[in-house]
Amino acid sequence: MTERLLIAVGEAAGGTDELPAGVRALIDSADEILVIAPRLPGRLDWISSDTDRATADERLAALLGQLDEAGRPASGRIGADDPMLAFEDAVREFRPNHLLIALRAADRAGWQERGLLEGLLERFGLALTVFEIRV
Amino acid sequence: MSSESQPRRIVVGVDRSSVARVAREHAARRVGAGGRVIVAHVVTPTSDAMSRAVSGLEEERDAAARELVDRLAGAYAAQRAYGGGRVIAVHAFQPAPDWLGTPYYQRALDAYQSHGRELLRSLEERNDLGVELATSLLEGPPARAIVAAADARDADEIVIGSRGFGRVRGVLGSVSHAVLHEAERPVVVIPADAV
Repeated sequence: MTERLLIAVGEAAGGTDELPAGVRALIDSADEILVIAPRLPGRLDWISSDTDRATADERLAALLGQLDEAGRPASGRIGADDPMLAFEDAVREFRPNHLLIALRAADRAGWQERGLLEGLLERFGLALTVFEIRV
Repeated sequence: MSSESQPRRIVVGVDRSSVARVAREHAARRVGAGGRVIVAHVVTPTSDAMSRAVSGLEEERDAAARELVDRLAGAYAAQRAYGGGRVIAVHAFQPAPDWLGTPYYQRALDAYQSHGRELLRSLEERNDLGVELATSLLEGPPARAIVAAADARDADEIVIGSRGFGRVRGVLGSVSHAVLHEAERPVVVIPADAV
């Protein structure tokens, strides 16, 4: 079975070399990878404190470049401002087997409080890996 | 960034739900040759179950022993398939909250501790498992026990089922929700139909 990994990336764009071993293994085992950078407005803003598209583009390009250097070429896109909508679009088109989500510590509680993780599980029924980015 | 062949330490939280089996199988697939599967078996007995434990009913103990062995069987098989490794069985329990402050609380606690030790000892004494086995007994909330088991062994990740641990809280069970909140390492949540 082709393993397709959908990565939702924010602050993780800075350094894949520092990813946890389990996450690296998940990336290594994927046959196809799609990276999206959904934006979460307001106090739970996920990519950074701003929602500037150019900044998001840079972050996305940085991670894609690192994945490519590591022999894991991937495609990527900036997602919709509504993270659930961004996931819906990506899942519909890419049909992943696994979702990988990087959250800053301060955002993890916010995502849970807003039910986004539950929403992803309920809507897509896919295995979901969540890990914390220390920034 | 290649890490596919490296052995990993994976904590998998299991209870008696079918989704826990799915999570366990996912963990077994990912652990790699020589890796370690730490099976955190968490128990949250109901008041009725605690009453039976205090009464010393043997069938309660027997049922729990069968359950634990069944939960671990998949991990054993997977470890053999991957050429060794080690299985660490962590048995954790939390007394029913409504027993707190009752005259029988300490008695129930003692019964469950004794029960847990017996379970783990029975596992250690088995010689047909084909893998190296270690055991550990913890007390406390299930999520905290799972996270503690992972922290103690510097696990690479924690694998849990999305609707496990009995008391359902939406799609994400209450224990899974708490593990996601408390863990400082990657958490893999496996829906029942994802494997």
